[in-house]
Amino acid sequence: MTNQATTNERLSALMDGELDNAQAQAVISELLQSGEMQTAWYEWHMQQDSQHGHPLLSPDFMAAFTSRLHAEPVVVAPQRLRRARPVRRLLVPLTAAASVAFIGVALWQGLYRPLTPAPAPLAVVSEPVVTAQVDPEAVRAYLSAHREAANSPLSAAEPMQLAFQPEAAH
Amino acid sequence: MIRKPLVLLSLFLMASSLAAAELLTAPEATRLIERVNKAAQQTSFDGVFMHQHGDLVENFRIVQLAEQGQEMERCESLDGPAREYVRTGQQYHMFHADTSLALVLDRAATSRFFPRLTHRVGDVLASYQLRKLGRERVAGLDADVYQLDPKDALRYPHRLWIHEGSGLLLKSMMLGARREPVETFSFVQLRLGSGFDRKLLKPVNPVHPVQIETSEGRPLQAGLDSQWQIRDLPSGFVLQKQVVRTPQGEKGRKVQQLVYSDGLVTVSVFLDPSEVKLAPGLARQGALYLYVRQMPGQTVTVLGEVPGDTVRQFAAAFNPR
Repeated sequence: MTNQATTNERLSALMDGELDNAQAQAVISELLQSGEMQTAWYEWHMQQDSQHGHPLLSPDFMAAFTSRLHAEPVVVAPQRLRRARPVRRLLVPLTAAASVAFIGVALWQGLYRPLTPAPAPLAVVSEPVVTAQVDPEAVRAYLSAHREAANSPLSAAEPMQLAFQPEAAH
Repeated sequence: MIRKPLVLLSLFLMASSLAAAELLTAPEATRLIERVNKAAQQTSFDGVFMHQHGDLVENFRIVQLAEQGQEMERCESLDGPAREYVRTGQQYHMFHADTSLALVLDRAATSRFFPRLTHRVGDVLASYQLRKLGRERVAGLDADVYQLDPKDALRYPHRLWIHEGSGLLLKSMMLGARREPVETFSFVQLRLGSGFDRKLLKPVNPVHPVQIETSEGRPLQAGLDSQWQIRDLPSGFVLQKQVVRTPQGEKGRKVQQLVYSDGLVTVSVFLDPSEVKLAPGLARQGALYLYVRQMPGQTVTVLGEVPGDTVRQFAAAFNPR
């Protein structure tokens, strides 16, 4: 029990950025070993995201992201670029200030976000595979008939852009 | 023998109430929706509301006077082409500067003009359940936030912001599959009470009377039953209206439009006795899905702000005899 509590505490400290480098390294290697800790890590971030009203990613986001990342070309940077440039030094305080400002903005957004909790995600919808355009003129008549029957008589009959995308059959 | 199911039932109820502590019971939900409907009818107010729909944002002025059993309402668009309606009791007068005016309005459709919610409480609660989310401010007023969660995957959730004091719907939002706002109505400014200038109730455009009709519960016309076998419609959707349409310049072609509603959203089914130019299959724009099913000499086209599977199920439910 005690061990579990301290694990959670360490993980929580890591999440809040309260650990120094060595401690963080230790917890990260622990995290990489333990499936339980990884689950907690994901769950806590999900809770945090929903408290902040961030939209939840689709469950297969990581898989899709990883596969896209693998597909990215590897950029081979010439060694020469690594040489220290005098401008860099000047940039450091500037970027530091920028990141402080960014944190300030993030906090402000966090504080003023609506208190409504983000609801649980819906069933996963697979991304449409676009193959061709649907003729907008042919759809227009159906759309205005539908709008007329379904909607407020004052809303515009048609959207400004009519761009129906075909979807692959699931 | 009798006890056992009861114990199981109570255990089940306990578990389900723990899982969804903020869910409203059916009587609570009915009471809430009825309160919103009543408030939308019986409250005097003047305000401006915003309507976002796909890539469109429009603003409207709305004034309602409800005094001594008398109801008057006027609503006009503030941007884009002038559009206006004036309502006295159940009689509507309308003006559209940009489109040819539909001279017949459906009663069920008029019951959903913002800030009304729906008049079919039973239908809505058959397909959705109400959950309280919290509190927020809308147009400077305190509102309780509720969500209508669909009981199945055939429709999208809706969120409601209800004014604490009056029960008036201050904001409503339909969410898409990725929880993005698909359609939002929201008061941006609202003053409750009848203290406004009565001139605000006078139409500013040359409005024309509009006939209100109800086609609820009517049987299918034009021998549709004998031509089409309709079965396994998506659950919760009720036929609301049947219209026969003749496409422009094609006098011989009669397209049947059947409008189905679950109390909140509508789905149109078009039965066309010809093969149309549209590509068969599923297509979407935002949260609006279109499904075209081609058959020899016949086409079924389904359109609605429901998930793709729902329009597909609708299309599959219609088969020529």
